[in-house]
Amino acid sequence: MSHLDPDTIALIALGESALPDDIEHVRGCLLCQGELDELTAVAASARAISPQDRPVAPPAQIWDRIEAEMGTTPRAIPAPVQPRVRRKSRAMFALAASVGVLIGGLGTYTMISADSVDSGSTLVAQAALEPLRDVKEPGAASVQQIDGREVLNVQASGLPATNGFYEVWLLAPDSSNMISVGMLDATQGGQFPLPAGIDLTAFPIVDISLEQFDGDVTHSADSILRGTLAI
Amino acid sequence: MHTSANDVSTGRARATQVLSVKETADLELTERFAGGDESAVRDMYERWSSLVYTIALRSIRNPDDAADVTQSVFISAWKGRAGFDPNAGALPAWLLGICRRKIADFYSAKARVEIASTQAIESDGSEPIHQVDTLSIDTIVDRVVLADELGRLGDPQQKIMELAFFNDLTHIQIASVLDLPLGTVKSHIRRSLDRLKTRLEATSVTP
Ligand SMILES: [Zn+2]
Repeated sequence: MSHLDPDTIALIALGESALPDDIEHVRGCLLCQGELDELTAVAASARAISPQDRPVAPPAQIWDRIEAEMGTTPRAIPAPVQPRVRRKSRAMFALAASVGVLIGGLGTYTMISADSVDSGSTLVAQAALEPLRDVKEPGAASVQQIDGREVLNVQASGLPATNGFYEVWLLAPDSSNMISVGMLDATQGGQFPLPAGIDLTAFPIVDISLEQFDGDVTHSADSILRGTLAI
Repeated sequence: MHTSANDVSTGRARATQVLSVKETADLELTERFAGGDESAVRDMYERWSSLVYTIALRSIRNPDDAADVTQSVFISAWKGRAGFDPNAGALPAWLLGICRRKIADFYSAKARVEIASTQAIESDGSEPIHQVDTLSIDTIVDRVVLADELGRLGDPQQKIMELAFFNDLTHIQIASVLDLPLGTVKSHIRRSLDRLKTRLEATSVTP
């Protein structure tokens, strides 16, 4: 009595017809029967696969949340620059929590809390931010004068989750020149004190770009929202 | 004539060899993870987060909850890495074991909240709520793992197995459709089935 060829067992497991001699052998052979049972079970499971069983990736921000909870160091951190943090704020902590420790590296921008925008501020300019890509909701930007300092306020709530981060820029009208204003919390918007003496007529375009943690500090050319400040 | 007994064992030896290449990569990742290298979690996430998330999504059917479960699985894996024993089972099996527990936790938390309004719970309250689902967690894990492995077979193996599984073609029909030699189709079918079986065994856990 010879055992069945493994290829033949596989075909029988798939339901192909078998020779009478082979059937008879399998019935009397624990080894071949065991092999056939296992492969038949695999084939039955596989045949039951539905399109919903095809693995899909989780939303991109899940890894960010894991990384933040683990307290790990992001892989690419630009050269540290001493942050000019005037006041630690709730907004800062929220942002720091959402992007891990990266704020320390990119923290060339002063963050101030929403609480400080109250009386004593005057509206300097504002802009509607139009979606350029797969963003459903428009955003809004405004520049306010607070304590003699100009602050850019960005609201953008419909930004898609990302493995990277959103960065706020001010662009010259022809995009030939630009200033990085800061990182934007995709869920909360943000406020960014502008460099003293900035001429907003030279940089009137507010641009939100999607950036990757690739160590490249220049604009990714992947703009998500954009609008021109009416001054 | 007892020679084809050798064929069976040769077939097994070959399947083991194919696996050992994968096992080497797994071993390297396993060592980094067990050694507390946090970059191993990123690699584990890249390799298995789709499995974890899809299993959670198929079980729970809510993307937000499935995403939360996925997050908690990897956090628990990292925090509980000391409890991972490489000798007791493969890393993906251990990870999917955590996934099963998190899904069960989700349902028991949900059951506590919904216990009053759920008719599916038996009078003694011992019936887990997820048994309402037509599919058990084991069935879901098996199907998602198989779907994943099917997608990794590469062509022509994937095409061959899809025609065999989903179009019910015989190996003769498949050879004709794909214009491949019969022997090639036959051995692809056998090796692919072996591979699917091995993958199922590697991810099945004894709780
Ligand atoms: Zn036999």
